[in-house]
Amino acid sequence: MNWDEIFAAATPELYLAFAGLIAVVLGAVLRERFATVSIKAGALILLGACALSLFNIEGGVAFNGLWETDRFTNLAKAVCYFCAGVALLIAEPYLVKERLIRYEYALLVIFASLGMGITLSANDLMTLYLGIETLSLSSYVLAAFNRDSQRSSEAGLKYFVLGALASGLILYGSSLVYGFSGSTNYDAIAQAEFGIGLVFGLVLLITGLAFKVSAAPLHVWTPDVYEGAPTPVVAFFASAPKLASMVVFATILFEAFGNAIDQWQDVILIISGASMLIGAFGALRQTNLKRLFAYSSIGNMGYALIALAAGEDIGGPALLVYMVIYALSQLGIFGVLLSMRRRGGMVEDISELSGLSSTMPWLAVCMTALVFSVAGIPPLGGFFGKLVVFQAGVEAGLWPIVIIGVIASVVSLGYYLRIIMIMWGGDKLAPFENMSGTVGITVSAATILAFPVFTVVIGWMMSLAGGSFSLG
Amino acid sequence: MEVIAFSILSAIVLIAAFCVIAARNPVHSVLFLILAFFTSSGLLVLIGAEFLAMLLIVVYVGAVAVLFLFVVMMLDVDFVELKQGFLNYAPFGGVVALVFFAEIALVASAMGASRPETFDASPNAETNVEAIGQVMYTDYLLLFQISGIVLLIAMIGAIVLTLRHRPGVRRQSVEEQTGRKRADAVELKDVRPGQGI
Amino acid sequence: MTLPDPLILFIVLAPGIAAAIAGLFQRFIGDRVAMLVTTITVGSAGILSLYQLFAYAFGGHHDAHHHFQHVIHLARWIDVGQFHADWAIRVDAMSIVMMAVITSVSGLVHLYSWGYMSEDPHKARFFSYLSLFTFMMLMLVTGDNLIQIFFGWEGVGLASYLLIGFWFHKDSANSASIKAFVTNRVGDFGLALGIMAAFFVFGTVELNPMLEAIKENTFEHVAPIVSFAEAATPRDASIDFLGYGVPVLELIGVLLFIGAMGKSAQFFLHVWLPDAMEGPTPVSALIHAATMVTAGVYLVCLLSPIYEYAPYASGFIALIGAVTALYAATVGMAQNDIKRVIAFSTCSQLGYMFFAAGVGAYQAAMFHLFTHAFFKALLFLGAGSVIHGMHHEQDMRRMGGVAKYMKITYAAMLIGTIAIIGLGIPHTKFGFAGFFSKDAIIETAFAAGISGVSFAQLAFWFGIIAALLTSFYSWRLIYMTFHGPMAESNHHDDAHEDDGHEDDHHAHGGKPHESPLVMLVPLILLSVGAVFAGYFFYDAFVGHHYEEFWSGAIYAAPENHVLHDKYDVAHGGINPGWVFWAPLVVTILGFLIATFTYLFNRGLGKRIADTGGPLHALFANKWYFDEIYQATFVRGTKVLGDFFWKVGDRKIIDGFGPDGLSGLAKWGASRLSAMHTGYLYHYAFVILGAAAVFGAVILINVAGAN
Repeated sequence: MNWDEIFAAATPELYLAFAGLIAVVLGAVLRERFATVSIKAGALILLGACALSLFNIEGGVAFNGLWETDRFTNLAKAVCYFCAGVALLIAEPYLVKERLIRYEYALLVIFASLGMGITLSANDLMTLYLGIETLSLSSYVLAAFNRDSQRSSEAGLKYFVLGALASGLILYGSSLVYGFSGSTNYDAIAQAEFGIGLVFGLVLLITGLAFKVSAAPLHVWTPDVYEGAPTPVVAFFASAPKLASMVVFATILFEAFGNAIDQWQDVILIISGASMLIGAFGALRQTNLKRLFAYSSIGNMGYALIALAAGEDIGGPALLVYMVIYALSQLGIFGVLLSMRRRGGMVEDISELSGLSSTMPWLAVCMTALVFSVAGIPPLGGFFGKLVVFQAGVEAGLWPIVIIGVIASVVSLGYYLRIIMIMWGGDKLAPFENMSGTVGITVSAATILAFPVFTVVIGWMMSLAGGSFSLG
Repeated sequence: MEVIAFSILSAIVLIAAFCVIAARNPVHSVLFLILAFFTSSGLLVLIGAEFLAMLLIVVYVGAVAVLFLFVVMMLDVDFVELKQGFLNYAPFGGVVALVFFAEIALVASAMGASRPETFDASPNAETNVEAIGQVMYTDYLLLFQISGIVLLIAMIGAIVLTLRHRPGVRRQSVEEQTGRKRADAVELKDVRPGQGI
Repeated sequence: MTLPDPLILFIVLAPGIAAAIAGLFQRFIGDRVAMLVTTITVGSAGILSLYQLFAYAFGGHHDAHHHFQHVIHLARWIDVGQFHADWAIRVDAMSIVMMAVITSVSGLVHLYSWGYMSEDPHKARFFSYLSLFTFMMLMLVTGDNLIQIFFGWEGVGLASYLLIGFWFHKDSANSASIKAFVTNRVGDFGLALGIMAAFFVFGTVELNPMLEAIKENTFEHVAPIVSFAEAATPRDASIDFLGYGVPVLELIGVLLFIGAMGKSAQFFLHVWLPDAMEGPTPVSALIHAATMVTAGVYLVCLLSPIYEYAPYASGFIALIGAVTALYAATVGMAQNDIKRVIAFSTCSQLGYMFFAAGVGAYQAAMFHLFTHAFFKALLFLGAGSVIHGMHHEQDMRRMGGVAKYMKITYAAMLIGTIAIIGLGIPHTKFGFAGFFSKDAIIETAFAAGISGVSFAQLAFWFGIIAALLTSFYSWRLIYMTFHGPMAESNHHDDAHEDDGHEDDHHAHGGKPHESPLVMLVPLILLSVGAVFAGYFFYDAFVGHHYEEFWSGAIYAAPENHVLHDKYDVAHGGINPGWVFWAPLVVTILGFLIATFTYLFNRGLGKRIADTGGPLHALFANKWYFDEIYQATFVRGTKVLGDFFWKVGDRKIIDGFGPDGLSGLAKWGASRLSAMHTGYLYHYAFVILGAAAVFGAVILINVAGAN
């Protein structure tokens, strides 16, 4: 056992695992007294993990090739941990007010993040599967965390059953791949002859992973789970795990099946096109904001998949940039949803935003900027995300999908603008209860980040991720 | 000989698995499931993986399937009602299943070329157990540890979703029981005759 | 010579800054400060640039063969590939003349407006627009590339639009401003095409390299975008335009002249100028008489190298100019609105300038532009004074006998009239400004006709007839306005309503009154110009020193020597003696007819008008141009627009575009919602189905690849 290797490659995950286990013990001893502290401690732990993964950004190989990290994955990890930490922080006021505050919440978020770290670092199908299970199991429980609410329980159960099905598909696919290539290691799979058996294993893997990133037509669980699960949990789901799953999706396709891009590209394109169109059309009639943003996230996964289909060299950096911008803006948007609280509880309907511009102008400005960013209106960050993705698509010669993407963007503007119209034009309703500090800071910070502060950041990330990219 | 045994066992596995779905009585379904587990462990024995065969019986038959049986018997699920829509969806389902099977058949036909010549169930070791033990805590330590964490999460999840502290529920408290002293439990009173307390 | 750079910068930029101050901060600084700022700025710019003109013209001789030019580069503007355009101020003879005209007249108009607009509630806005116009016009005349000229060109168009529609609550003012804007768009389209063609041919929009290439007749120092034959030179190269091989200079020349036609209200595109009189009178004086409308003339003279080698384009200019001169004069005879008479007179005088440029006498055109600015501004401001004194009455039929109430105005108007009809004694230095410039034009036209320049003969005869008509309608204006008895139907009853100017609190009685001093001072100053501008500058502009004065700013081909030919045979020219006397004779003839008709037999004119012969009807209705345009272009555009709107846009584009798409989106959304049942087994089925489909796709792919 080479500890130098392990520390170089896996410090953040080791740290997270130990911190999580210590937190379990602390929780068992301190019980309720640990509840409120646990949230802040958990956020601190996750931010520490973020710092560690940036500190060890070069990464390495460890555990006999089961584990491999590099700049690309470490960067993704850092953003994931950061998002998870922030999502944890902004959950606290909600949990307190809804009487859901328990230390297990922080534990589950930590372990889910650990799962993301494992999947991102996986260089072997077995590691990948276990990482996915670590993430998924925590997620199922989180979705059902409000166990007294029927909707939350239903969401958790649906997520669990369908997630198990998807995990089954991944397992089945992995075993086929193992059977036909003789190994579960990515590098060994890449060496193997690409026969029909490997192809079918890959199809099942893609199906399972597409479920995890909630791309169409495997998106079916997303709206129900988003609607049913507690809002801070959805804020978490929408940011970090999406980013992690998408990057993992890319890693496995690029590293293990990079030679077979001609075979899987069409499937990814179908998934991407379907996601964009379903995301655009599905959200048009939604009135529940969480459900609406579920469809929005489905559509956004479609755009990210364009970059995936463009291949490693062209699409890789674009994918990362797009997903990072997306994840950060999602935190802001769900921060706004978290602050939609009136006497008597949370409200989620789009009509509740009516007249927000006059009752809470700053919140309305933030929401407008964030929604415009997600919609891809220049000069906001989301525009640059879409731009790099479309550029990657064009560079790879995938014209049809880019055209579908543009059409879907136009259609999706329909519901984004509806939100804004209601906020700025509707009748004045009573203002929401005061936002808590962390939520306010998060929303404001996400809004600021949505502005082209990103152009600088994008260039930095691109160079870090090894892509060559210049605006314009 | 092996081929005959394999054919019989795998035929039983398939029939049993089909019966799990087809049986009207849920208890029968679980019993068929147990049959399927048994026969698959037989298949494992056939390739020399006797340790895995034992594990399958101990864990799945002994624990999981029995748990299923309890749950099925305790919950009053009307399976007949659940199956009502079956015929409506049969055509769609049939088509999808057909496509799926066709694809698997295609894959299976491609098998021939890349089939490994020899299979060693216990590489570098006398027995199955030894072979697993050699790699479990060395090469695959990481996977083993992650599995542990997955189980921990499952436990935490179960507790989060089900454990409730209801006030007013009397529980046995061992320390309280053993820590009792005579003085706490017995009180001496002078009782006057004919008056009561 | 020229002023130091900072002062030139002040002349050009200060009006823009003043406009910004007056326009943007009018709420804070108030009307009076805004008026002060703009008037003082433009006034001092006027004094400076007049000084510059005198210093340049009389301050020493310039080299006739060396192009005198001083360019101040301000900033880079556009720099895209081969396309460069800078902000620059070009100071040469052309721009010195124009700067003097613009800023001095503008300064006087600013001053005049203190009185004329005294009752208007939006004074700051008015002065801001005036200064904005001045700035834009200066940008136009100092640009050293076609793009900056275009910028100024559009800028003055904007200012003109804003000022014509200054009284925006009047429907007629609104529609007049729109008419001016739209008509100018037609011309500007030609101008834009011309600039593009120039860029296409020479690979640059900067004046110097382009004009040098033409003068030296080589493409060596420019980089054409189109590829010409190896030996092609600018003068004989041709390109395909609308399917015909057209000589490049002819093409550029005609296209640019179309732009000039729009801005300078030449025949076919003149329709907006009479309507532009809806604007306040100072605006008419500044923009629609002295400066903006002469931009076309300026452009043609500035690009003289192009027109020197584009005989057909020049012929076209001469023809259009001559026709305009005659046409506008005929219409001017039959108008009753005092401002419209002067407007048509402007149109006619612009025609003179254009045919002068068309026959090659660019210097004469510029000279007439220069003198005309003074006496036409004087006429307009005088008319404004009358209108002001008559409480916004513009119909000459309701005037009469005003002379005894407004003596100074009457004197100024007389001077202006004598100047415009060009009274003076040939072969001597005795004459008003118009005499020098207009006779120079007529003489050069005849000389060019002898030399065989196309349309020069026609231009000469049209010019002579127009001179007769000019004299007639100018005196008609004087007699109808200032002489005879006051018309009975006084103005305070009906005319007031449609006039619409906000002077309801006007408490004066019906008697006309002399205007205040701020309005009279500009009249007096302009009168000085109208009398002496020709006398002082004749030698410099078109006389013996013209080559030294222009110093290469105007180019004449070696074979073009009209300015030498215009003298009579005795003085080295080629003109017969009678040519010099013909203008004087017709002018006096026109004067006599007008005197007979409108002074001694007052009412005769009215009777002729009432009899309404076909000729009078034709003139009074401006040859029915408005009606013809209404019936063809306006109606036609409407029909076409209706077609594109109702069929093209509503049915096809909307039907398959927004409406169709939104319908599709709604339908798709409802289908998707319906598909989302919420049943777990539906979802599971979808997942497995997707896996099956993906498998099929990828397997077919693999099979196809093998």
